[in-house]
Amino acid sequence: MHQSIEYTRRQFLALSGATAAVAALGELPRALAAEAAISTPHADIAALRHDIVSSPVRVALHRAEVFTRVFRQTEDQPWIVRKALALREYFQTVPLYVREHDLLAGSISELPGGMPVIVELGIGENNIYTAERPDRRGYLRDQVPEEIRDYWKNRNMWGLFRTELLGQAPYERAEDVPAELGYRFISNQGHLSPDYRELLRGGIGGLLSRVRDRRRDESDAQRLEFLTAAEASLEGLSAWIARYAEYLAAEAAGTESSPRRQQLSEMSQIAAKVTTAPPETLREALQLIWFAHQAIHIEGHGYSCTPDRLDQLLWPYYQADRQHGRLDDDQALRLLENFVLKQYDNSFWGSEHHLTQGLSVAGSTSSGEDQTNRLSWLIVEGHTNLQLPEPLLWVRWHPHIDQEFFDFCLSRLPQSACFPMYWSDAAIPQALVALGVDRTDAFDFVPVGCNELAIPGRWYYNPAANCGYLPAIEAALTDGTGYRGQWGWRGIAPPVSELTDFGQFADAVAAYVRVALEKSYQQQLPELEAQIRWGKTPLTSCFFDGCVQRAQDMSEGTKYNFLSCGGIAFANAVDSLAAIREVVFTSKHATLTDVASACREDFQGRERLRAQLLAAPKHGNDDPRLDDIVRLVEQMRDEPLKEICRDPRDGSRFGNSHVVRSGAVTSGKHTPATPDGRRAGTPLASSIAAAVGCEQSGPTALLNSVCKLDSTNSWQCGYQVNIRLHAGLIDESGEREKLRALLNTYFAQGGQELQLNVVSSETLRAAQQNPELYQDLVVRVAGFSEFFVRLTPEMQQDIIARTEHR
Amino acid sequence: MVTGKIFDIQRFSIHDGPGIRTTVFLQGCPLRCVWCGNPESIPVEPSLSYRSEKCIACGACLSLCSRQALSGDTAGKVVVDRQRCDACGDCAPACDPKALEIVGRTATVQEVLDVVLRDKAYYETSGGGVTLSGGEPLWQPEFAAELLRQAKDHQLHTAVETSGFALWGSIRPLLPLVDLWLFDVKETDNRRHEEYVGKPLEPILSNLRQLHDQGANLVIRCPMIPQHNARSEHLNGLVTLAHSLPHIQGVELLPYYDLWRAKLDRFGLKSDFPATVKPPNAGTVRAWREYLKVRGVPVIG
Repeated sequence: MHQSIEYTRRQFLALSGATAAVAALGELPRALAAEAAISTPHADIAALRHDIVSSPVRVALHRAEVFTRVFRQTEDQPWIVRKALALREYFQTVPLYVREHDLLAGSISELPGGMPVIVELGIGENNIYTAERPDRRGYLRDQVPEEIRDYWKNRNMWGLFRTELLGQAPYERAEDVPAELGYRFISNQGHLSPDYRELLRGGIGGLLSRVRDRRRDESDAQRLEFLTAAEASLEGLSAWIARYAEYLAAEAAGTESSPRRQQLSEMSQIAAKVTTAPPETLREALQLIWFAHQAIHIEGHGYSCTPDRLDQLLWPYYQADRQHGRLDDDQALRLLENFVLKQYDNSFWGSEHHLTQGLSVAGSTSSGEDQTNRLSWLIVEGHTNLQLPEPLLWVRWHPHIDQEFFDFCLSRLPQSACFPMYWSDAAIPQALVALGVDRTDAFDFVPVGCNELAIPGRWYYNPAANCGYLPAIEAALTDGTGYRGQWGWRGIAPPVSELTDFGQFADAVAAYVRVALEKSYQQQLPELEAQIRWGKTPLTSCFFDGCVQRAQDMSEGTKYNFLSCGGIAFANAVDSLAAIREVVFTSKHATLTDVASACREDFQGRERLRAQLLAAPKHGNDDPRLDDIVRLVEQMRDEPLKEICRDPRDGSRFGNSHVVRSGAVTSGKHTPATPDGRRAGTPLASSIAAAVGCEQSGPTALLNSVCKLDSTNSWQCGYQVNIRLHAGLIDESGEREKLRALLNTYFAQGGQELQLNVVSSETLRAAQQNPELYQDLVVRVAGFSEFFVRLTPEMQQDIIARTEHR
Repeated sequence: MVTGKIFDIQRFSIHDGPGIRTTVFLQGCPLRCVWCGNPESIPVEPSLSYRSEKCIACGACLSLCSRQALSGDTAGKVVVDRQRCDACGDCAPACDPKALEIVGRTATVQEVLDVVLRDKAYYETSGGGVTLSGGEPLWQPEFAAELLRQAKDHQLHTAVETSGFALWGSIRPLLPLVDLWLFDVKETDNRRHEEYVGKPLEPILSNLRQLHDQGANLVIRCPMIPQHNARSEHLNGLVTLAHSLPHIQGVELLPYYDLWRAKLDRFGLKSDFPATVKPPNAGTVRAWREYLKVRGVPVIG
């Protein structure tokens, strides 16, 4: 397994095309790795991309060494202060480098392609990724010195969570620590977007003065701890940037080529300026944002960070630069492409580990004015020029969106495979307002991560309960024992023999959902407590509303604190209930016990029953017979969520989301057959819209089905909808216009989110092999469109050939 | 209550008129085009569709056939004796995996409209609406007229795709109800028209001219079939025709596709149409379009 450390991003990009495991990213065609396909007009950007994707993945130990040393020396001090002192020392000492062709300085570690180990949280592989790709584990094995691992085994967030909050016995030896941990214990919370407005207004100097001013009048010891820590970490950030200024000047002096020398020298001057002062140009602003953003990752928020709303923040700088003739669009595009590459170069757990960083553009004000600007265009162009799976790129749709811009976004799909993705200002702000967010703040939302949401500096996403629809159905079918007798749920709902109508069955499912939801909440509360005690991030907190003013870490609360309940496989749950209602209670072809035993046996010898279950109405086809079941499944979760789950910090309500990522594939592998007719081990529904292979009525029916969900009251924290499209439906402007009308209508009817995945020839081949999984796939033939699976083999071959030779 | 025979309703139809549309396919056609793409839609009676790949060999259908048209093969999969089968439909409801299905059903105008109206918002955004196709929609004039009338009551844009082979008396009442006619012209040579289509060309052209002269919005659609009508004489015929109809919106060429071949087994049909006829490649289609364009024909697509 050690050789896996030699994988480069380039190799990973090539490999990942075949898996499409990361649902949020949709198709990741091999073409992503083909540099011939990238379309940046800037040769140096192409070279920088090549350099980044060719870097070997390595473990960078400087952070681990510094943090171990400083934490050892400061054991009598409060955790937050130790964290800040260690961070400051890291910034003061980390060896610097800058990649050739890079115009933006600031890297995650001391090694190109190197990933830091956030030792004070936990040392391990991310168990989400190892579940997704069991073949790709072992990056850290033998890479972190024994001495470091031994020091932290009971002293980091993971160790303290176990011993102090769960009361478990301390580890005797470092090797007793599991090789895989949850993401919070190796890279903290993430799923956030810092607010960079104050940073841009006053520079780091401004932030430091505010912290120092605030500290002057403070006498409370705990608040002083936070302010001391905030100050030290900002000093560290400033020192790091000052060191870059020196380093870049020295690099410039030692560089022969005069254009590069000039570039390095400019970079040095910019770094020197933004060490404390606010930026005045777009380039300075972008550099300062990157330093701060990279520093937040270094502090330990490794996951799912979206840097505020760049097109909005940078707009005044762009305008000023243009007015003074300092910048043209080509230079702006180059800088934005560079920024996208900086995000891609930000490695945390190796090349295959998507950090789900993002960029959000466009949107409207709370009064409905379009905020699309020239930078929105340039960010979309720059991002899609580079053909990278990360950062994710989102556009905020609203009723007055510049339709020319919207068309441009859609026109970029064939080359980017799935970007941009869309969120709706007509749905999300309403849902956030329903949770108690001010209207103005609600219109400042950004997506973070796969399909989570945040408000820059005011609210970050944090899951603290989950909802297992399918286990609840299994429990209701088996008197609480599960198909294999694996559970011992007793007395929660009446036994199967007493469930004589659909209403009683649905009540039984709801009872199990309630119990499981409460259990998950009780289990996750200690994790939240662990975050509050040992997951503090004083530097990141400086970019969150009210933290400096109240002198408390963001983990203890920011402007809005609503946690989230997640669930997966909503469509399978709807379809399973519908199938049971149809087959057991309406046509009476089978009993509940028959359905349970058929699911247990994966329908072996029960093909006819499976066919009956499959023939029941399926979500995603705009079928009015499912409307009441959709509502029922939403309520099964919403009612207990309202009653049981509260943020322990301020009593805020929970929001709900539909969790995606690769959960649909990996959880599907371990999920037995379900009463909707789905076979054991096959993927669950990744999209809220329909289960795999069940969408057979075209995209309008699919989207109408989504619009039947109560997005405002049931999905405040986001859901995900996928549509697969063949590039032939996008290439011609006339057809794209129809696609645009489709999306305009969907969002106007209340749709929250949408991802369009342009299918690759590999997907088409897979559809030839397994047509039952690709029932939804519509392709443009010529003059007409048809479901791919209905074409003759020769025509399918023709479509594949055309897809490959576009 | 007016009812009609339909065999499909296709939503998000984006090639049969402007915008996003729902196309309703009416069953039954008087023409016998040798290259017909929807052979199951020719008879006005329903057909039995059988897709063996969906059959799970459960045997549930076997005893239901009063004409003994169904039997099992060695693997237990159903074999349909098409000589005996009269598509009565007794077997299909018992087929859970939908391997056996009756295609073609009687529907009320209301039933069809209920489905059509589900996408009204998409029509409004895209300038789309409803299209009647077939089969031959004019073969069921009352049903077509009522469906169009009610669609108009809902302010929908309406289109009719027709072969034009109908009595003018069944076309005329539709004039105020149809926003766009997609009018097929399959051949411009009389003799060949009879040979390929099985009906004379003259009434079709007469209807086309009357529609044109009465101010109907018209698109002429021309299937282009290699070794048949894909000849320069026919293209020249189309040029002449188009020039004689100055108010048409345009001429659309529809290249031949052999999707129908997969349907032969499914519906137990036979065809003498030569397998050597292959879909034209993109370059050939472009050349045809160019040929018309340079001769002043407004070509669509």
